[in-house]
Amino acid sequence: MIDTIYVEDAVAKHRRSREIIARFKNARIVECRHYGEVFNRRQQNFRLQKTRPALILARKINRRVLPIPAGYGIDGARGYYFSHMLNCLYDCRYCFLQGMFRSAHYVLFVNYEDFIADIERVCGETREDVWFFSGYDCDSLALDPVTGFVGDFVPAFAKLKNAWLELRTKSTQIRSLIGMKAHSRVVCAFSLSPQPVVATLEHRTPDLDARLEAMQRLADCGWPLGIRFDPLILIEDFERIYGEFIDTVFSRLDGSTIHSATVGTFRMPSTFAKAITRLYPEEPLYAGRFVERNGSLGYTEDTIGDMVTWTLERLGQYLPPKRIFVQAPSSKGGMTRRRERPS
Amino acid sequence: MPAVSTVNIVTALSSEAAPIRNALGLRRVSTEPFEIYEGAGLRLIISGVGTLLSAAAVGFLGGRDGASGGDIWINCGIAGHRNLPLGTPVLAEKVTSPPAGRSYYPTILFNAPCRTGTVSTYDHPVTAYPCDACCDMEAAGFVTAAVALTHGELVHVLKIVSDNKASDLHMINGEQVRALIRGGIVCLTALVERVRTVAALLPPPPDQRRLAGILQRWRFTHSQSEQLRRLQQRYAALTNGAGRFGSDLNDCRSASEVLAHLKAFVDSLPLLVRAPE
Repeated sequence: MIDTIYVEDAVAKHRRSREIIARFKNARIVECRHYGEVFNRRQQNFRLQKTRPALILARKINRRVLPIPAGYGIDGARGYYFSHMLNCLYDCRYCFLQGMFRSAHYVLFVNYEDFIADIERVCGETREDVWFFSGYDCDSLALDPVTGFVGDFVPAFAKLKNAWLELRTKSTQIRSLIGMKAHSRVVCAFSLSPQPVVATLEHRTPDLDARLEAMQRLADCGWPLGIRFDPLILIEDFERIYGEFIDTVFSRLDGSTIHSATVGTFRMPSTFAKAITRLYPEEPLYAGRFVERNGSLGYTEDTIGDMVTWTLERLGQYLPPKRIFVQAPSSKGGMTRRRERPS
Repeated sequence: MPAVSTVNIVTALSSEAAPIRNALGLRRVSTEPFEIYEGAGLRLIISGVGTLLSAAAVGFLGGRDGASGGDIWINCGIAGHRNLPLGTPVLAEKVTSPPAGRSYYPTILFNAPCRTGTVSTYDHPVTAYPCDACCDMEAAGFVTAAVALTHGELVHVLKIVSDNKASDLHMINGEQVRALIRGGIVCLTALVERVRTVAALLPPPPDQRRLAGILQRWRFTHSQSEQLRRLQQRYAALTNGAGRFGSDLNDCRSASEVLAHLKAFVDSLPLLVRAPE
C-alpha cells in the first residue's frame, strides 16, 4: 500500500515514526530535512501521485490548532480545527484537497503530544464548550490502523470537560473506537452520499452500505453519530435518488443516535477549481456552468435553494430541526457552517 | 485515448550513449551543438560532462521540437559508489547537490526495476565517496532543467555503478563504460516502459483535428486558443464525447464570435452528474 516513506530528520527517532516504519518493512525510506521539500515543490502532478502516494512523516512546528471562522460552529460554540495529517486515502472528485495541495502524498505529523498540549491549552482558556474538528485536511479514520490517531486523541479528549471532538470520515476503520469506551462528546460524523454519487465521484471509498453498517456498530456501542449530507450533488433524477437515499439512511439508523446532521451543496474555491480542472479536464463535475460567489464556485442561488430546501424537508421527517444545520457556501472550503432551521 | 509521451534520454558521454542507441535502434539527427539521436518515440542527447551542460542539453532538446508537458526525461550514466559492486544499476530516489545544498526527490510511481538510492552531484570527479550515495556530475543539473519542462513524476535518474573504493574511477576507459551501460540496458528499457505507463494516466489531449480546423479558419490569439481548448474539453465532458464540437460556426466572422457562440452553447448543456448505468 505504501512503498515510499519520506522521514523528516527531526522525527526520524520519534517513537511513532519508528513504529510506522517498522510496519512497512518493504518500503523504501528516504530522509529529508523538511517535508516541504517533497510536498510543496512545484511541477508535481496530484493526479499521477494519487495512483501511488507516499507517506511523509513530519513534525508540525506551529499553527497546529486553528480557529474556524468567527461566528460559525455547531450551536455557536467556539470551534477549532487541527490536522494531524494532510491528504486522504480516498479520491473524491469534489474534494478541495486535490486543488489545494500540489502533492497527493500523505503527510503525517507524528508529534501528537504537541497537538494535544495545544488542545488542552485552548480548552483551559475558557469554561465554555469548545469544538474541535479533525477531518478537515484528511479523513479522520481512514488511516487509523497506521496512524493510531484515535487511540491517542480520543482518550486525551475524554479528560477535557469542555472539549468536543468531531471525527469526520467516510471510513469503516472503526476498530479502535469499538474497542474503547464510548465518549458522549466525541461525535463520529460520517459523510454520506447516495450510492450512485459514491460510485461516480467518491473513488476508493467504502460504499454506502458499508458506511451505514459501521455507523450502526458505533451507535450500538454508544458513540454519538453525525451525518454530513455534504456535498449534495446535482445528479440526474435528484429527488428520487436522494429521497431513496435519505429513507435508506434512516431505515438503518435510529434518529435518536444522531447528534447532528449537516447539509451543504457542492462548492469549490475558484482557485482550487482551476487547478482541479487542469488535472481532470474530462471530469463532468467541473465542466458545467457554475456561479462564482466570494471566490467560490457553486450552483446558482435558485438551484442551491431548491436542493437544500428539498433535503431539509426530507430530513425533517426523521430529525428535529434543532439537530439539522446548513453548511454555508464559503471560499474557505468546507469548514464554515451556520445554523438554519428548515422552513 | 491518452497522449503518447516522447522519452528523452540524456547521457553525458558518447560511450554512455552508444549502447543505448544501439539497443533502442536510434539514428543520429544532429551533431551541433549536441549530438542527438532519434527513434520511435525516443530521443537521446549527449550533453557533455557537468550539471551546466546537462541542463543545457535538456533545454536544447526540449526547445528544439517543442517539449510536451507529458514528455518523459531520463538521465542515464555512470556513477561512483563507495561499496556497491560495479555494474549495479541504481534508480534515484533522492538527488542532492552538496555544493548547492539542495535536494530533489524523484517520485517513483511504479515498481522500481532495480535498487533505489541517493545520487549526489558534484562539480568535480569524486573518488573519496563521502556518503552512501552514487556520486555523479550531472543529475542535479538534469533534474532542475527537466522538471521545468514536464511533470516531476516523469523525470528520473538511472545510474550504473562504474567505480568504488576497490576500483578507482581513473581506471575506467570508454570500452568499460560501454560494457557497464550495456549491462544496464534491461533496467533502462524496463524503466522507460514503466514511466510510460505512468504518463499514460495523464488526461487525454483535446481532439487536435477538430481544433486545428477552427484555429486555421479564424485568427485566434494564444489566450483565445486556450479558451477554445477548454470549451472543447467542457463540451466533451458534458456530452460524453457524443456530437461534434463546433459544427455550426458558419455565421461567425471572428474568433471572438466563435468563442462566444461555443461558450453559450456549452453553458447551456445541463449541469448534471450522471449516475453509472
